[in-house]
Amino acid sequence: MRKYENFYLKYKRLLLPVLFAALAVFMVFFVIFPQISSISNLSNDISAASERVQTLKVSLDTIASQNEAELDSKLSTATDALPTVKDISRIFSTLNSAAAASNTSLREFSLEVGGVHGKAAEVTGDLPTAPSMSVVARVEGDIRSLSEFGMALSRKFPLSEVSKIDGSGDTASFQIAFFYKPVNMSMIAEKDNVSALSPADSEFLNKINLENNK
Amino acid sequence: LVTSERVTAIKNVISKRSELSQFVSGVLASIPEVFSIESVNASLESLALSVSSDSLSEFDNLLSDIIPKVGKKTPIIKTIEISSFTQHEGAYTLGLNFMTAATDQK
Repeated sequence: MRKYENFYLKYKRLLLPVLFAALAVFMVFFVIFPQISSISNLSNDISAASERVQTLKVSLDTIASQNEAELDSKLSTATDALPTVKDISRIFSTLNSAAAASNTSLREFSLEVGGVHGKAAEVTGDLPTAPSMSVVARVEGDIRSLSEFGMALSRKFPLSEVSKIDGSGDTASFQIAFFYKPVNMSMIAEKDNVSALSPADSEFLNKINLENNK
Repeated sequence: LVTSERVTAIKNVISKRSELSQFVSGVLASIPEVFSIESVNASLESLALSVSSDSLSEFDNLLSDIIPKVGKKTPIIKTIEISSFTQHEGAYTLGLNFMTAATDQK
């Protein structure tokens, strides 16, 4: 006991400075350093936010500089070429229009619509390829003109692909896939950076629109 | 954004879709008018064509000159086979099979 008493008396005057030094070390490691780190994180957040604001400003300027009528027309061409839904009336009109362009006549057609409600109808817009609706069309005309029907169809909107042709005499049946693609609004909403359609893309839309109207 | 996303999808569809109609139309266009086309059965793998005429010399011309040219200028065609040749009531009917590159991939 005496030993401890002596030790205490010997170092009594150092007790307070050591206590303060320990407290200072504690403050540095457990209060100041975390604060510095949080300041650094905060500064990163501020920089990211200001970058986002800048992007939004650029996007806003881009939107403001667009010709609304031209933009609507391009969107209309794009959605005509690749509809957002299975549009049966448009398909019927396209088949008739292709028949007229190839001097043939549409006798009948049948559609495999697939799901229209519930899980079967769920098609997300972020698919790598556009889904399609299967159609079988029976067309009447000269057999050489019948092959032109498929050619006319490939130029018309909505986009389609002929996968089978069976013809004899003056009729032929065409197995056609009409493409569509739902809009993935959630994916689009996540994008802040709005850029104007490139001249190449505008030119591409004009070109396919011209082909469609031939 | 919607237009841009749609343009990408349209380009994707156009680049990936098969040009079956163009292929069939190209082959039919090369068959002279003197032949009557009896039937056409086309899929992504093959095109079966049946043509008829009452002139044997036209068939000679078709098989020795026209069909090989079609094969050469259409890269999608891998082989061309004669599936049948028949004669009925003075008219000759030739069956041709054009096998495409898709046949090999199957």
